[in-house]
Amino acid sequence: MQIPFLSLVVFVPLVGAVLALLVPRHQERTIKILAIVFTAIPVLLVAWMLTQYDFGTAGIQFEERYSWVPSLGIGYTLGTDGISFPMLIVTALITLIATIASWNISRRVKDYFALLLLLETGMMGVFTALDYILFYLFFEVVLVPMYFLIGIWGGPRREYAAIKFFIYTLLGSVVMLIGIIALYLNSGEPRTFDMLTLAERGGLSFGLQWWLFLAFFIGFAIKVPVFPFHTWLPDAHVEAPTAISVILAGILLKMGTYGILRINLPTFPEAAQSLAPALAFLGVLSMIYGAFVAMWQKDLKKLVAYSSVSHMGYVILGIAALTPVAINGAIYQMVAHGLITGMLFLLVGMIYDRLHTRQISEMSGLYNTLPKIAVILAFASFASLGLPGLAGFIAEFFVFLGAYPVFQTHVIVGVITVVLTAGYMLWMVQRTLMGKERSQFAGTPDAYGWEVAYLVPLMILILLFGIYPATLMNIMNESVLNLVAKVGGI
Amino acid sequence: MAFPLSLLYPEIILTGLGLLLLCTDLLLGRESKKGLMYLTIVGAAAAAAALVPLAGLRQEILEGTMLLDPFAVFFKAVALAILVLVALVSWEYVERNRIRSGEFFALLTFATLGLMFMVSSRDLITIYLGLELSSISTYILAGIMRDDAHSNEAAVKYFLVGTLASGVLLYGMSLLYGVAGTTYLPEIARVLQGAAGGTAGVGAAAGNGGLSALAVVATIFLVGGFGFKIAAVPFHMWVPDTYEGAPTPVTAFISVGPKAAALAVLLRVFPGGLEGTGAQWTVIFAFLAAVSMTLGNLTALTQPNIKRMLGYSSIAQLGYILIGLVTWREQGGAAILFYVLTYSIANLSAFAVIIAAGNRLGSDELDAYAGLSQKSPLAAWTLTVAFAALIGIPPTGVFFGKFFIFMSALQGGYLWLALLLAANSVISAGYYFGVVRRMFLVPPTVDTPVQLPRALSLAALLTLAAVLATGLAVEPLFRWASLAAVLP
Repeated sequence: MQIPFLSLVVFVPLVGAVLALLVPRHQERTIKILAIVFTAIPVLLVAWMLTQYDFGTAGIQFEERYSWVPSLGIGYTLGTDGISFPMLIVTALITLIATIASWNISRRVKDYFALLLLLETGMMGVFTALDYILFYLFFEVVLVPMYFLIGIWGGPRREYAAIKFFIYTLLGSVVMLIGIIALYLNSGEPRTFDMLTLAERGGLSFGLQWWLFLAFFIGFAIKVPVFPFHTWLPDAHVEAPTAISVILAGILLKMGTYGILRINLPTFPEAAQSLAPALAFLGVLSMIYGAFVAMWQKDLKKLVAYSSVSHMGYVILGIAALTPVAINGAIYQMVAHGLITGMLFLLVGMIYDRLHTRQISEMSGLYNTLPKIAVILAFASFASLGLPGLAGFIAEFFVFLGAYPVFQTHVIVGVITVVLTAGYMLWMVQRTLMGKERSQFAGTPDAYGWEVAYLVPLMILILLFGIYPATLMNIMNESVLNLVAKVGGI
Repeated sequence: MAFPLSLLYPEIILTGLGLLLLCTDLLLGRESKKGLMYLTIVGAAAAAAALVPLAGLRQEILEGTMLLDPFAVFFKAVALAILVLVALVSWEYVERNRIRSGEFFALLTFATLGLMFMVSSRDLITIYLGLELSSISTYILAGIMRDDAHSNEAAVKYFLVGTLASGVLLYGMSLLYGVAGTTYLPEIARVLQGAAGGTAGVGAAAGNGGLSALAVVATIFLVGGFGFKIAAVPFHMWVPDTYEGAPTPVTAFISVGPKAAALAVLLRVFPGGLEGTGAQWTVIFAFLAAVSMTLGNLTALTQPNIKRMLGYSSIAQLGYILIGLVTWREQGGAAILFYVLTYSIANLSAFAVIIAAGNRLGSDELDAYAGLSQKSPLAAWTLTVAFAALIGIPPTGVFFGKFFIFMSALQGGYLWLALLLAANSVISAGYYFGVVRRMFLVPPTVDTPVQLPRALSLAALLTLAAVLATGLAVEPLFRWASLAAVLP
């Protein structure tokens, strides 16, 4: 019998959430261990899937197909390919690390870990669902736990940040829902919500494609977030507890770009071609805008948050180019950014826990005070600015390389971002890590063994993906080639 | 024409139940009045059991004044489910506020009986009779706390506006009778269609010019009369005070029961009976839908009292539902049925918590809900899921209700209504999550423990499960709704 890998990956965390609810409230340790076990299982499952993954095909693998509402053509369809599998790896890994990093949560422990597990179910569902309604369901399921996780365990302005996140994303998704229904009604008989079938069928008029592309794009652009839909992000990031920032930056933002790759490009190819220049423009705008604003930040966490806006701009530019190299680069960036920014948020959290401040001006000389954290932060910053040999470089290089033939000016302008990024990252490193040691921080404990233990795997992966890109490229290349063939390039 | 009496067993059982409740009340001592709640539930269950064999039938009763069809059975099932749930959540409130339980449960039963007559009526007279039976019962129910000024105010407002609406409705019906010469809906439809079709060739430029002005006026009066009953904007002025002042279980009943039945009647009268005048009334209902949802939601945002807030939210929800009436040709009917069922469950789920919380916190003000999640996780989570459902977040039943409404709107070419519905869903998140925010994010101000009694815990769990289950078992429910929505 075939093992239903994807269903397990999606629903094992949900089972964990239910079990966590059944544990008595005061047994906090048990709940934490349970949560770690149930986020570790998806990691093992994904690793197991990797051993059985067929690198030579562009098709959907590990497919599960059941009927859910046959009279409307709604199915329970799960599957993965080269576009979503890298996301599964990142999701499983980052969620596990975020769960471990949440060990010190002391308020309402049971609720926290149950919601975190529920969140993982939603995220895994988004990356594996191949039916529009199922996809929408998981897309929305992510929303509710995130609201609570920011709202209950967040910083001082948590209530505002949580509802802002909620309202923004809800707005995007209802517009998307209208798009889904319009697509369904206009795609001919027999009517279905199956993503692959609808992409295969085509036959939509150009005007309709254009509007549908826009409806879906608004939903996804808010999630990414693309300038000018980004204003919820700094609030959410700054107020969210560390582990949740990690998940938000590492996984949630990718739901937006993943949606564009999975739905917008193959289903509305002609509209994608016609709107690609606009998309590229928005991408470059986000890159530069994010970088400039990041440079201006006095708060370490805000700096990382705006750097996310900038880095996700690369992904948009890569997608817009519609060449195999650029799209490979875009997915590479989704993975690299997930790992690198996840790491940066973890480090910012660790620094905040120790110094009780995030103001860059209030810290200096951390190389002496917190040597381990400082070294790892320097590593992550170098990765973030795209130092050759680390994952971020490969991603950015491929994006620029692939986009250059199509959007020359965009790339030339975009390359400035690399300089800007190096500027704000190095400036941040200089102000925080170097300089005079501050006496009031003397005697602060450095990173604990268990903290280093979950940072090291991230460092290894960033290094591995930076030195030997074929590891990741092999997974995605076939599917990307297939996607580009479908869209037809510009 | 003779008909098997079994077609009316559910109604007969309910009538018997109402009378039995009144008699039993006299025999029971003060301590054993709780038996009346059990009796109501058992009686309603018996009526529901009598309903089961009627599924799939299509048979006229009493010279066609009533029709037993899948449509009627669907709404009767909804009405009985509402009765059971309201009875379940009422007891504690009734006991605490020293409401005369015999009268309370009997009136609740009679009100439901009225709803059941309404939904199978196919004649203006029987529609009116059913409507009045349920209306008069609910007027009394709203004012049943005789020593409570709020309850009195609620009842008086509800009664005055309600009777005015009944008058308007009756006037519209009499005009319609004047035009058609009959009160029998299929016959009215035939006459009106004949009038519209017969002169189409002559007065084509005038559009509906073939219809006499009288029929148009009658239609407007009917819309106005029903508008009051379903509380569509601009006929909604009675809602906030009545919702706030009436005993909470009665508010729960008003927010779903009469609304569901009135919608059933609207479906029978407009698409079923006044089909010939199509263009006119769909425009009116499109307008009512748009203003109801927008004003309902915007006003709900500023309400400090949860019952008032839900009053306005129910106006908005009704606006969503009315879209289905506008697009009844494109499966809008099935969408309405599905929505009414799932909305009723979600709303009663919310009210189960509001009754429980109101009894313990001693207040229905939103600020009293601060920190409820720490006092009673079950209550807080049930309310959260119910509100998430009312916003339209999957996997809840109401999400699919909204989904079907969206679909019928797009199919019918009403993109603007779909976009308005989308915008309104986002606005509604503002106040629904305002409550969630207080329950989860705000620390409790007073340290009153909140322990739910068994009946209310059961109701909360039942409805919570139903809200989620209706979102997963969409297929059978949707098939049932589509089957039932086929009007002759």
